[in-house]
Amino acid sequence: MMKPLWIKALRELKPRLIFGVVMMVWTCLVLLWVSSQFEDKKPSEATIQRAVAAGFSAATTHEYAWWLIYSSSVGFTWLMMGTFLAGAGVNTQTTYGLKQGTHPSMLYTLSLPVRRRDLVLSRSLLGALFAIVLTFLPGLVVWALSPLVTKFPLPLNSVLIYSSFIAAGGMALYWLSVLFASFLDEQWQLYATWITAVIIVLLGQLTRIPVLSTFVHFSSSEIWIRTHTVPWSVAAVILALSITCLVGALRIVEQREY
Amino acid sequence: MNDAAIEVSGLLKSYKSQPAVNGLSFTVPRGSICGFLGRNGAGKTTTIKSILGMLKPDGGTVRVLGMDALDPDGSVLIRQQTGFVCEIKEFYPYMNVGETIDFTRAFYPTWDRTLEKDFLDRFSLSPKQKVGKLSKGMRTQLAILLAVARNTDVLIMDEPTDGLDPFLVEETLRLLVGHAARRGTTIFFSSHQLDEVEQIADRVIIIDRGKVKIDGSLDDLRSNYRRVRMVFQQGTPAEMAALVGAASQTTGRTVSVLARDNVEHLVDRARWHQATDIEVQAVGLKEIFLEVVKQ
Repeated sequence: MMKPLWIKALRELKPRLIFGVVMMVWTCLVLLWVSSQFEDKKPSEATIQRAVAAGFSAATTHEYAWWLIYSSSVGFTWLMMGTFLAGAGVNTQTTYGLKQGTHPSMLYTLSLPVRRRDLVLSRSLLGALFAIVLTFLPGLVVWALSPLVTKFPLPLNSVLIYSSFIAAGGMALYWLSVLFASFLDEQWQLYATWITAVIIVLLGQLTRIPVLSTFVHFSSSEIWIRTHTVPWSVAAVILALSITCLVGALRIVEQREY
Repeated sequence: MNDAAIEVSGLLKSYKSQPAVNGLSFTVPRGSICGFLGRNGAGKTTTIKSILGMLKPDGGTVRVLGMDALDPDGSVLIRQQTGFVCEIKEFYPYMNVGETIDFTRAFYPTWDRTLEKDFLDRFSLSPKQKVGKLSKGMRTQLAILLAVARNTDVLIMDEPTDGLDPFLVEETLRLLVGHAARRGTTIFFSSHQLDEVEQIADRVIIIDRGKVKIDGSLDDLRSNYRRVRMVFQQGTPAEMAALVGAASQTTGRTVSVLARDNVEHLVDRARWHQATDIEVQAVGLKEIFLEVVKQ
């Protein structure tokens, strides 16, 4: 009975995945192009300082571009793209995530001879897989294309490590979005996720609560770039948060009356 | 084997402390075609969702083909062994008709491809048509196809002819009755089109404000209810006024009442009061329904 549910999840994810891929590849190409335009010129002192502060040892424009890709601002954009792919499997998703209210075909979904937990699991797990793919994409695109336009390509293992941190941090927001999808419509699901993400970032910056501020740096790979160590406590918090959100979404969908 | 296809007992469901169904109890025998009637908000859709295990009632029991709808695994089996036409006939807009049929077929081991093809041809639905582009009537046809082709012992339909033109209503009802007669399928359907119910149902359940008002065979209903029209020369006698109660309609010297069981007594008393004219007429389901929900 799960096979058709995977197909349903795939059909709903496909346009969002294509949208995400196009957005990410386009952004990476712009970054690379900018990087290549200034390859032989030394960046400004301020630029160098920002890159160095983020953990990059050298100060070429190319490396600055890398820093941009994995810095907290752009890095967080990659995380947010993942939340576009979140869904709880009950409400039919027909747009890129800005539709108000529930789609009337939700009743047809609920009348299918499956447990509601199967609806949640099929949609959210496939979405999570695609979100991970999406977070690896910018690094892989830049890694693949940068030798063509710059003189300083980064090694693949660095790309994979940076991307792994973004994917792990992104999963916390992804599962939070799945939780919101279990009781909010598409539009409010995204708003709620983004507002929560902004609150996490602000709290991390303003209050210096260790887990929150580390989460922000962890999710943008900066913590690895700076220290080359894995903060396991933050990884554990992300894992616990993800599991809690999934269990919460399952319970809400199974108990809720639609 | 249990003779009941659907058994609902003491069903209770409230929304924000507003009762939707209030101790509803009825039984639908196997092989019957049962019309489920009530005004908007009477609790029909809540009852149907409870029967299919799509809703958790606050109390009572629901069994379909002996399976418990309140048990999560039982409700999955019920939905697998029941054809269902939902009140809202909407499907995934990103699929076309053929894909929707393929998708639905995968959930039902009893799916009959011959029935699928038969209904697809009769309804003139093209597998290539996008579901989002279908008219309301075509979506209703698709919903009926998806329910019938499951080839199940029970068909539950919420407003199954919604959006169909009169010709297609006739055609669809004929197909459904023919299918039920060939397979012995139990059909339980809600409708506001009382003439359709009268045309195909052999049983009728009328509910009002969450309670069963009438539950019985259509033949019994037709034979038990009569419209009695009496004309009195000098106004309605007090005894007759008390006898017919508030449900009567009085116009000048004429009293008209929908009577059940006490028709002969009413006629006897009217004669005793020297009614100048007494007329006893058979009534249709519409008249009975209107009388029941008016009370």
